[in-house]
Amino acid sequence: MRLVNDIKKFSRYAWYNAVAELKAQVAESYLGWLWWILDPLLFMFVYSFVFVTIRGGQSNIEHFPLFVFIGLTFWNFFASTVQSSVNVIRSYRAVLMKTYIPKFILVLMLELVNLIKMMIGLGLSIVIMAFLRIPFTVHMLEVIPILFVYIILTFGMSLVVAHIGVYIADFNNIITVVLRLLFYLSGVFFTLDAFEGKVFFGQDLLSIYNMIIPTGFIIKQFREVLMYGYGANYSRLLYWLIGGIILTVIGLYLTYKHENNYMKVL
Amino acid sequence: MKKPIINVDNVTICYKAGYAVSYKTIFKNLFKKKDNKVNKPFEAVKNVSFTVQRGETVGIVGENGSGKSTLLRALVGIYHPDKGEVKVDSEKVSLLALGIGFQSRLTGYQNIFLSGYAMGFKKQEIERKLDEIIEFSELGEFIYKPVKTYSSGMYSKLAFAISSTLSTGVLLIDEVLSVGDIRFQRKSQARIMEMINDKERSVVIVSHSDDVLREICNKIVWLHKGELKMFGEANEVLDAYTSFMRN
Repeated sequence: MRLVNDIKKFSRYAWYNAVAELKAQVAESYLGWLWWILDPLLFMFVYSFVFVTIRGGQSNIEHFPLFVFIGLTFWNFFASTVQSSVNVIRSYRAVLMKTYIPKFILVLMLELVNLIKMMIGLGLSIVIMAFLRIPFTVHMLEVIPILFVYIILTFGMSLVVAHIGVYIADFNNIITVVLRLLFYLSGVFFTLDAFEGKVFFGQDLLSIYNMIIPTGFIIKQFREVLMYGYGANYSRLLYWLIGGIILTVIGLYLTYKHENNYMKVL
Repeated sequence: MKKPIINVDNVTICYKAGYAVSYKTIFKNLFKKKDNKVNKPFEAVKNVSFTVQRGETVGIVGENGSGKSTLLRALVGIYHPDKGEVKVDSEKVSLLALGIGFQSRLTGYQNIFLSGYAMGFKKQEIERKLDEIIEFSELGEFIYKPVKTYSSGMYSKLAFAISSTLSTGVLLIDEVLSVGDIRFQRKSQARIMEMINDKERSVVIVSHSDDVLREICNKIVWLHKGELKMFGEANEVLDAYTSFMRN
């Protein structure tokens, strides 16, 4: 099949490009790779400061800084990948005018860059947990299936976004707004406890939420298995895995079908 | 007769729109008849057919805007024909064209690997040719600097060194017979001749230089306003083309 061939032929390109991109980011900044750690840490302080101040000096969430740190680490993976996918084909125009590269490879490359950053954030979260004496449990291993679902879902979403971004130059603006909304809906710095037990049209509100806001649901799963020592919600994870696969198939179909027209539009 | 390595069969390539979609064009098109629409498709290449045999060198001539570069891009797989079919019977095809194909934030060294991987080469294959590429490009220490710091001459030297050293079964050349300074030009022309003379390699070359084409090409494709005006023996087509251009 064409997809398998393309993956075989171009995965080296995606991997090399991702690593080179990270190296370039390091080389171009004064503090280099320290930013990968500093960035989430600084935002952790900002949110902790703001929310503790607003709530009058106390937060009812235990280990609030870690809570925010985990939220930001996993949110950033999704948001950065989707946001940079909008214009990825446009920004690779010069390269794509000289050689044929399957377009999903570019999205894969972006996802790898953000995946590496997310893994650093995950490692750091575990260090903070050790520091705060939060007990390690077997449930922490459940991070792996959650990551798997999250990677597929983000890939599918980014592919579709990359396709639309070619034809609609200002799609970037729309995505920025949508991502901001999703950020506030995803419980990066608050719990979803408020939804618990509430009923909406005969349905549990939290259950509805988990079915429509993937990032919020998945970030919560990461916190459950890391911070609280619970297991993950596998039936809902399967639901999002299927959602992710459907999006991926649609995205691959769209990019393969239209990729030869992309270069004529840009 | 042998099976051709490149088979262009009745190919038409349209440019659908000059730019991305905007609500204005959609609105303007709303009440217009099909032929009057804003951004109506423009046929850059119309019903063109020709074949290239293994080891042959075929030139493409035509006025500016006659669809030469569009046709080359279809051969390398960047454009898909809207009608007809392009068949290239070679796993690796490279396009040697002016202009950048590099990622400017990455170093020349990294871009060698990226270009190689994009062409479908394996790591070992690139590493084997690495020294040769760096030496041919004459970049010296600059090879470890980001490509954005290069002069335009350095850009094209590196591009030429990569696509000419990592050899492919099919080589497409778009007007790059004069790259860099005079010394490098001589060197690159010698390299091009060497590649063209290789019996295993098929070359399609776009050029405006009559002398060069007569010297190196077996056959010539003459495009006029996107249509195939003539395809045949090099001298014959070039004679017709030159007399057409004089009038």
